[in-house]
Amino acid sequence: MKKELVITEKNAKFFYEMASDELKKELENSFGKAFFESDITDSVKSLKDAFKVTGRPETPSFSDVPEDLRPFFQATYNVVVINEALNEGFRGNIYNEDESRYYPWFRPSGSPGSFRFGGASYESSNADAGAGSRLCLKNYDIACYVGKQFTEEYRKMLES
Amino acid sequence: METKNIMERVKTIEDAFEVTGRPKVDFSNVPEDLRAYFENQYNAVVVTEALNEGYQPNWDNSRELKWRPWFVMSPWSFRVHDAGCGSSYAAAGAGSRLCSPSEEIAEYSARQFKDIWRGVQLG
Repeated sequence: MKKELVITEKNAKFFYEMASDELKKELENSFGKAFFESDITDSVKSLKDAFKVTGRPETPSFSDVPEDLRPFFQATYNVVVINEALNEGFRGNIYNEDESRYYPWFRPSGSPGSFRFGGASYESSNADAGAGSRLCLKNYDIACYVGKQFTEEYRKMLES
Repeated sequence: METKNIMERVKTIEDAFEVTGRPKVDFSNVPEDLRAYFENQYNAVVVTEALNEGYQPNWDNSRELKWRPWFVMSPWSFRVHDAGCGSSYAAAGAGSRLCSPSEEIAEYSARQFKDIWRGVQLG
């Protein structure tokens, strides 16, 4: 009997880490060995890449949300998908004090042109207003990468 | 005095909808596992808007403190810490829509609407 399994790139990488040698080979046959050796930052350079890696549908219209709030929700959705792609299966457990969760932070100065990446910081047992498990990154380097590579997406979320 | 008034007027999410005139929203066009997150995010925005009474953070003014609810979480609890503030920086989830003009308002929001904020955190 043969059944077909459809698996997203994100899940393939996640399962590869814990797979037996046989399963690793199977996955390598489908995705190519280089795929599993590549850094996630090589394959997620744009929002489009993030949709592809996660298998998430493109930004919903949020048509039921009041018009003035739509840009905020659309931007938040995009950032959630970008982070999901870069986290490769890691989901911050906000109840785990031993686990650090990383976030980028920015310096907004009133105009889109002057909004810039400021740095990344981590939290373990504290949680700032909206920065929950959907917005944290798995490590410092990824948090810095997302802050620099996706500054515009974050700006839209934080300013709109 | 006005601060007290708004806290007396906005004690529930229903009050926040009434004060702001914001509608209830259907998030069924969002992937199912993300719906609860966006519903709570929307409720947090509406609560903040109601309590803020027209306040909009001014990111040009680095001396203006922007307050946000702050929580401490552990395996056994989710509790309000107090309110945190920033002036010229914006951390990941705490942009314009979730800032408050005063520590008192941010802390009230954290305590009174803890379940909503928890929903945003847990997603």
